[in-house]
Amino acid sequence: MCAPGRPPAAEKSRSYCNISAKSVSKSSMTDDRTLVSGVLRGEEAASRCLIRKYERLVAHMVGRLVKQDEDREEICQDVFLRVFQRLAEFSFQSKLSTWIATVAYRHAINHLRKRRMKFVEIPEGADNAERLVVREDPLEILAVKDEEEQVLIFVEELPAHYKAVLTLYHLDGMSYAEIGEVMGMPDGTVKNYLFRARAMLKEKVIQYFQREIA
Amino acid sequence: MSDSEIQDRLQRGELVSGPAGSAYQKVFNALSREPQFVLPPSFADRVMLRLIAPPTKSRDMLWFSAGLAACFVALSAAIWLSGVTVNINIPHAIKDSSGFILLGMLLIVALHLLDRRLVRKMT
Repeated sequence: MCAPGRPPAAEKSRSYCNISAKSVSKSSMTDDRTLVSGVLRGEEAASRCLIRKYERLVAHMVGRLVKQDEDREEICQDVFLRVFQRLAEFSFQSKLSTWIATVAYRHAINHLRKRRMKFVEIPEGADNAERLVVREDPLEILAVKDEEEQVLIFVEELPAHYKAVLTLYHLDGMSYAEIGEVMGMPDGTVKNYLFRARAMLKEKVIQYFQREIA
Repeated sequence: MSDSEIQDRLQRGELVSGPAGSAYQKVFNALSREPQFVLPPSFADRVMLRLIAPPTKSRDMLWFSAGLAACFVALSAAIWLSGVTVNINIPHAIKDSSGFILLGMLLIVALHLLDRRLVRKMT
């Protein structure tokens, strides 16, 4: 069901929004087909419901790749506008969530390119972990609330591809194949990126929390 | 135990001991944590507004073009009515060196291009 406290239009959308936002990956194709045909018929309730159902997925991707708070919401809005523009072309060859994640990923990457932010293609090789591990004195690093927040700061330092893979796998529960489809890479590469990203983070965690772990 | 094995075991929800296992556990916990960035409750309404609203960008461009055209018409009318003639005078000293001036301008343009494409990219 859609979130409570919405405008009257939301009441109409109940028939569409009977799927919890957290169960996006498990939602059946039939529900998405109903939703998409509703949107294509121009039903506002269906459009609102599609936004609510997938806003979490889009926010995860954009929130992790784009650092600027002031840009994030606008990019998320742009993603949905693009989704609505191109929805007629979507032929259910893949899950709707995978397709929307692809739009969100491309939009976020384009934004990074425009802003000339850190967007690094990672060459295959063993030296990457060494290259990306920041050797800093823990005392010099800004104080953080807890360990998990510190790990998330390390995640921020990773290249965009790694952050996207980690987000889609750990937060959105996508399979290797689905992530591969979103990012346009083979399953093996996804698995490799996932492994290397976690290994890099582990190295950083060990360095940072050395005293505590030892 | 190798990194790969530790990751596989944690992925299956098993506990792994040791410094590496503990570090990986922290990583896995943090990665599953919901990010702080959350869209506002009014997000869907805002998207719908943008979806329904007419494209302001093209309307702005229309007004801008109309303003520019009006300026051009006014300028032409002013010149025609006042009978002002525009005469571009080139100093005698450089009149015969137009080739050098052209070369100089081309070099400046090339320098700017090199600066944009190579120097700024490297720094």
